[in-house]
Amino acid sequence: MPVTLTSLDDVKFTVDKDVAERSILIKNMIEDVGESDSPIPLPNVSSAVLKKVIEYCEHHRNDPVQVQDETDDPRKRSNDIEEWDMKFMAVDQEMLFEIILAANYLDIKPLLDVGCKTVANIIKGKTPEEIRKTFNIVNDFTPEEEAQIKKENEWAEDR
Amino acid sequence: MTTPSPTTVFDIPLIQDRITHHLAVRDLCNCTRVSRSWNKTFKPYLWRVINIRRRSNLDKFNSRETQAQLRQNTCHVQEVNSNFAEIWSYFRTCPLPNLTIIRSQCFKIWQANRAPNKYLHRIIALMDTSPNLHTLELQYFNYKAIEDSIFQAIQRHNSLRHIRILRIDNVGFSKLEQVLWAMYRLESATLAISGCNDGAGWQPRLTGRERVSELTNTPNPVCTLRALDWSAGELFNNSPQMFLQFLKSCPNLERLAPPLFHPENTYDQLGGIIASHLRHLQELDMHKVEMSGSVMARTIRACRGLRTFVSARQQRDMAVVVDALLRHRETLEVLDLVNSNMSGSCLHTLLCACPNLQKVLAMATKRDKIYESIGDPVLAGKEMEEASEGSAWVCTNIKSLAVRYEHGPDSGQRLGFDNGALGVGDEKRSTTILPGVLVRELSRLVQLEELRLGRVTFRVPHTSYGSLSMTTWTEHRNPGQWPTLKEGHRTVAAMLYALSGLKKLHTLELRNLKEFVGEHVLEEVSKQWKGVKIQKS
Repeated sequence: MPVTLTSLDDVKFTVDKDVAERSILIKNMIEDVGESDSPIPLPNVSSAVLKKVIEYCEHHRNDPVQVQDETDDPRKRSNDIEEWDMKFMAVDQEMLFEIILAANYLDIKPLLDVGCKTVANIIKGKTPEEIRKTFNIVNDFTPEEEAQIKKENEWAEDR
Repeated sequence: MTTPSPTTVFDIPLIQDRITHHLAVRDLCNCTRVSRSWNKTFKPYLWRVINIRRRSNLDKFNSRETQAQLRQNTCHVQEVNSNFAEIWSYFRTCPLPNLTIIRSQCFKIWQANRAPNKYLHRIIALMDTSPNLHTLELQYFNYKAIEDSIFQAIQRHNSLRHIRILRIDNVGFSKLEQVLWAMYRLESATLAISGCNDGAGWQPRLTGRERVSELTNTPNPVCTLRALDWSAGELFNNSPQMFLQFLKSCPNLERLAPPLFHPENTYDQLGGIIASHLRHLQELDMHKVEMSGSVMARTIRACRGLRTFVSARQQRDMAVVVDALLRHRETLEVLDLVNSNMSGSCLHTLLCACPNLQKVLAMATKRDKIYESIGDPVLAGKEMEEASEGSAWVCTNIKSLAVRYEHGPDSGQRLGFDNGALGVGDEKRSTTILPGVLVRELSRLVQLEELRLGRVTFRVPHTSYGSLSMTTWTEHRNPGQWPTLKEGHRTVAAMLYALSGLKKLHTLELRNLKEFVGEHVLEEVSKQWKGVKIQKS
């Protein structure tokens, strides 16, 4: 039984139920409302992003449901992203952030995780100046403040 | 001038948390230096875990700026890991309300002047002001005269679940009783505590048990404890009795590594206690105990559904132990048989009988001392061939295997190694490098991720020098019978091609086979594996 989803800009997507239910939010909605033909409104997600999210859910429709990600070692390596996911996440920054926010809103934990790993990978190994450039951030520190922070962090740094 | 930065993902705490979990401390430091808003966002995560591994880090931790920051961020600190006990004095004026993990050790080389008591007092004070603490690990402290306070603090803490305390020696009899019953609300405990030689006149009277029974209002008061590892301790005289009485109160124990008991006959009761009281015991780690084969077999039979078994080292009368293990053939998942005195044919029997094995460790690691490997089981090609009429390894889901084999000249002459089947030439020739039957079995273990294979070239039956010849290549001994280099290369190449079908393999160690591994073959075969790590020696 297919499910119809409506995006923020009123575009309708029809997907299989098991694909839609990768999103815990939608799964719960379907359970609450019961079988119904009326489309499910997703007022926080644009059609461009929703299209990407559906693509992800379709590729991962047969994955086992993640149960215990809290008990996993939190400092897990972030270089264990699947090849398909890596290609899937090769989008511009704005889209990447939109996908993460959508995954958060729709409650799709594996997608949220892959997104966060991708962002972490972008930050990794970069100097503060490189991070600023990457995320288009203005340095609003005074030189004194910069020196101060450097001192504060020293205990953690050289290892 | 610049557009507002699209950093919305960094503003949602749940997403922040997920991103920062993947960042190293160095990256977190850099993040705090990006801008004021990033500084505010990322600083709490920088303070989440305090790791002090080097002296230089410790010195900087004591700086005025850092101490000021610490006072501002105490509520963010969840975990402190330090190699230096001095760190605990820096928290004197600032309790850490959300601390969940304390790991404090000193490097072993400094054991001579172990961390003095005053730091232990600081840790006890921190424990009392950290209501969420669940893990406490202490190593190499000078516990003299303070064991009581530590275990009292453990006993009164409401949320503590895991402890690991190394090492306290010469603990008197009454203190030992206190230690045992302090664990009544824990889930796991690893203790390196040794008793002293007192308590000779003790009779079971269970004062500790009665007290804790009263507290918990159950007859078996230690019902949360699931794992108890006391393998790094020794108990004397009547203290093993006290330990066994304690075990009777732990109905939910799943993993047990008992200490070394003196006298040895105390172990006779262990099987009975397991049968009557420890109904959920699934993992038995006996690597530190010394007991006869029949007592070991009785202990093993007392378990229902054993999943993990770590054998005693230099076990006497291993055959009856194997017989007992076979009763658990359907449940056994992990076997550690290093230096167990098990014969190769017994190991072969187990591999043919236990379908659910995940990990079998039957070869000492390189770090073990050489004499610790003298009792490793050694698979013999000849025995496997003779035994394997209709019987093959059933452990097809095994992920990790470390094993020795021997294939001396005598068995080599008998066994033809069918190179043709492995795609290397069609001539049939005998070889003394690798038993073909072993390669065939290995190449069927398609779930294998880690394979360590050690070749035993020549074994002198148990002499004090026997271990030396296990690792030394004795090619010159009998030139006519030993294989030529060319033959060796050919056989090992055939094995590598056969193993290249194991797609999940990520670690391959070939011990005492170095001179037969051709680089070009290795290169070609490595293409079949993705990122496999190969060690040869």
